[in-house]
Amino acid sequence: MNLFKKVTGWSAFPALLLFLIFLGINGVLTGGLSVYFFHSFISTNAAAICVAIGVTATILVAGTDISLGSIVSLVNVVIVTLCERGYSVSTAALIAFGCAVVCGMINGFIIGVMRVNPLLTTFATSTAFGGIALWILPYPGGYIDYSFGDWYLGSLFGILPTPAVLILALILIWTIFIKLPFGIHLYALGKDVKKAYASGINVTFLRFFVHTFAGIAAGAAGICISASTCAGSPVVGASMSMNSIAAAVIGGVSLNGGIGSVWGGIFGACFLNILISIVVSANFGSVVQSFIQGLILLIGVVFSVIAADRELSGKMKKIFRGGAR
Amino acid sequence: MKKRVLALILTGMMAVSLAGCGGAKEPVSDGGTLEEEAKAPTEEASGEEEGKTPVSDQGDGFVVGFSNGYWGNTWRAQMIEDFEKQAEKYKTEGILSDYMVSNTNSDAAEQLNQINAMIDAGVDAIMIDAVSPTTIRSAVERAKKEGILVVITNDPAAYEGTICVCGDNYSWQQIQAKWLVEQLGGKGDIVVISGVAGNSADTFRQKANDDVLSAYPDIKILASAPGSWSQTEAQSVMTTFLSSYDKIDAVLEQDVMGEGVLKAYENAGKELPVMTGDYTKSFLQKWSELPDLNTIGVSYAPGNAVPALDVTVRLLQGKTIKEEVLEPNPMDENLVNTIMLDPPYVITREAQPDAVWMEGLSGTKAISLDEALEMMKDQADTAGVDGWISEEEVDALFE
Repeated sequence: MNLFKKVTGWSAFPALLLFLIFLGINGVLTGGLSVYFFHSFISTNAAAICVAIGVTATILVAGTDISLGSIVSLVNVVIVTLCERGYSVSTAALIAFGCAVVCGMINGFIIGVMRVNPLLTTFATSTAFGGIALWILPYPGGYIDYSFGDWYLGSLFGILPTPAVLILALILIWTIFIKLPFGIHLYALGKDVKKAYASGINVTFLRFFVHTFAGIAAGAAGICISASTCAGSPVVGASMSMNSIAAAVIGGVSLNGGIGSVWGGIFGACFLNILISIVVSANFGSVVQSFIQGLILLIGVVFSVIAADRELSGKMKKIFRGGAR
Repeated sequence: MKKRVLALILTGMMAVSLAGCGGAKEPVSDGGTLEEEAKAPTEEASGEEEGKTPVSDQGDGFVVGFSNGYWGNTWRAQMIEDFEKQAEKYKTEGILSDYMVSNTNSDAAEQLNQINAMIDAGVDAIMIDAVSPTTIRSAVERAKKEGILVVITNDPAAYEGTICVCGDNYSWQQIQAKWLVEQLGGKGDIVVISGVAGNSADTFRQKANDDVLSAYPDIKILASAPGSWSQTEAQSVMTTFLSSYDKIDAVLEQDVMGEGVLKAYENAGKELPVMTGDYTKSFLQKWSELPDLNTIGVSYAPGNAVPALDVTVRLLQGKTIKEEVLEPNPMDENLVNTIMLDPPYVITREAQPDAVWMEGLSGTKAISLDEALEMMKDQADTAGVDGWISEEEVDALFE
């Protein structure tokens, strides 16, 4: 019973439950979930999951980062452009990854050291990074050698799909930092900036680190999306910034900071993307697909918020009781 | 504790209501509990080695999926409508047991998700109009691995082991360039307004222009600029041209930019030019109100999806395409897997089926402006003149 309570009390639990339910529904609709399904699901959505991890980290310290989608686009066009200039794919990917980290550090510097509001900062930098991407590659096009795609669609260490390894690496980096004393400081900062500062926590460094980590995550996402499409587009990450924040919120990460874990972001992103599959599998008419997708999403968000908020669910209970009378 | 129960009940309600939405395709009864629903797929997965799915088990017919990579203009809406109509017809004939359509707004990852979902749903063939020619590789590979037929539709993309049925941008633009040369008698000063620079469709179109015009040294291109297939951009480009050059004999442009060019001329108060035009209803209406306008409309047909579906169905039935029909893929000269669809209609003020620009086209009809307007009577202003080759003509492509 204690374990049950622990699991259901976990902030990421509602998102996990949502994902599993819809995974089940998808399985029923398509008559079974194959290994192929999981493989293609993870390789297609690894980018979204990586961005969700990154943005969750920034939200945990009561910040946010809406520039990650632009960084993903930037990584994508840098890889494509370098490949076309004759660089090897791995060199191109590393350079592009470096760009992403630098972008993250710029965000971190402005937010941490110069203490500018994270939303405003990343709003501005998202336009700047997206603009650079558009400057480098104005039109969708170009292509990356298919060996990159083969590496990505294949497996590392025998069984683990490459995208899963990339995601696990990100989780590992994050978990290690959380286990350090630093991790508690991070949550403390998310809960109350002033108190954290007064207790001698290095707020500047924490903010800088968190945004750099988000940059790393966006870099990994850029590599994932580039490898799964093997093509370039300056707006490939455009929808990711908002989707990742939604994923984090569905995953029980509080926008006020200090509550939640990266797992929430991961399950939230999985839920968002399984919806796309469901709506196609259920074979709704093409004109109502977006509506149904939005409707399920709305129900999902409401459900996860109610489940996470004690006060609100108490109110809901009262309303239901009142209605019964 | 109670709130967890409430949460679970809510989830249960969601799950059951969604199962209800699934309609006839839902093999699990509505009363199924959460655990049962969650377990069901894994049991089925282990039970069915072949990966056969309930969708394709429903009847003897085939299941075809169509993944459309851009959504949000009238042209694509027309394309989907045409496809659904034809698919519905095959369904009543019992040739198809079902069909699926998915749309995305240029989101490559979303399109991959959708194609994967179709593969999981057990389609026999997938038609794909890709977000971008190179972005669908992982999904195409997976479909091929599972023995699913892939037909690249409308916009060309080159993948080994697929068939490509696409609109012919080259011949489409060639007709208009030839027409323009005829009107000028092979001599004059023209301006060119192109589409989105670097876009593959525009590249083919500009190549057609260059190939036709290179034979006429007396036709001088005063200037050329991209109008990005935007009415307003074309208008501002044309305004610049009009102020820079005293004498422009003709305007070589394409698609929706036609109305922008007309507006620029109206604003400048200049005499109407010889110009290539557009095939949307609003342009045709304007054309009919301007007796002095000498122009042509060639329809780049949204109905391209219909012959693509016809070909897909025949391939599923085990028929073979005649070897001489297949042309090199526009995206990869070494891959001979493409059926090029000529434009269905060429519109001039009076129908001119014997004109020079009609030579060498198969399945293209020359019609008059009045006939075109009659066809468009019940359509929206932004809709284009649509058409496709008949099923008999498609049958002729097969052995």
